[in-house]
Amino acid sequence: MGTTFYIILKGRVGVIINLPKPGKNELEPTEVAQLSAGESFGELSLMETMMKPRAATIRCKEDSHFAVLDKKPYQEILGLAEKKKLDLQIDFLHGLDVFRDVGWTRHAIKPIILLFKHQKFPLGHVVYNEGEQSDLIMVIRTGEVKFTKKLAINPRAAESIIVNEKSEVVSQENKPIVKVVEVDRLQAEHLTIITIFS
Amino acid sequence: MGPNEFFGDDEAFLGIPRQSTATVVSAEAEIWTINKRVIKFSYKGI
Repeated sequence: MGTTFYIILKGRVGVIINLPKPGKNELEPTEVAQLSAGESFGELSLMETMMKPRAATIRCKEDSHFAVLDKKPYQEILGLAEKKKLDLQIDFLHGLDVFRDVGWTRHAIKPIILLFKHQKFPLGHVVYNEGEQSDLIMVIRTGEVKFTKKLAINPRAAESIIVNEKSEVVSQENKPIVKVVEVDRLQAEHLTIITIFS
Repeated sequence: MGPNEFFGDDEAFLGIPRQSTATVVSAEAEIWTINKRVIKFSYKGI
């Protein structure tokens, strides 16, 4: 049961929940997120009037220091502000087609809020690179992201491939020519096919 | 691609490498990230 709210002053923790083993019905503890200094956890079970079990296990990844608030002072000092913040986060996720269209309720979304990692990135930051393998899914809350793809194009075929005006030749020393092109998600798959057959 | 849009989900669910490079093009972007297994698990309602 949760009676305490934690703010990480130093260190890093892993958020662990029980998930099915791939291809099996058996559950296994799985780390689904990491939290660092400045981030907090434990608030979900403190926002309810009834005692609620913890939704996740938190394990230190390194020596960590925490500021700790018990339920009563938490509710007096942070409770209202944190509840408003949580409501806004639930509103955001509940408004997304992917959740709303398949019938997720606000109640169902609430426990997974903690499992989203919230990050702010500056202009030019690379969120991920082509070729990386990852289990992570992203959603944009504010700002914009563009997608680029490296294409190896047969020089003779290059003229016949219309990409877009934002294409940029990055290397002409080695054949085939390598271009970085801005794509949308459907184009990313389509242009892979062009690369294979050019 | 802008606010309220998901990305990286196709590759994550298919278990294939990222098909493109994703770069922030606004002054700042707030991006939320979640592991695909959480979504799959939660969606099943287990």
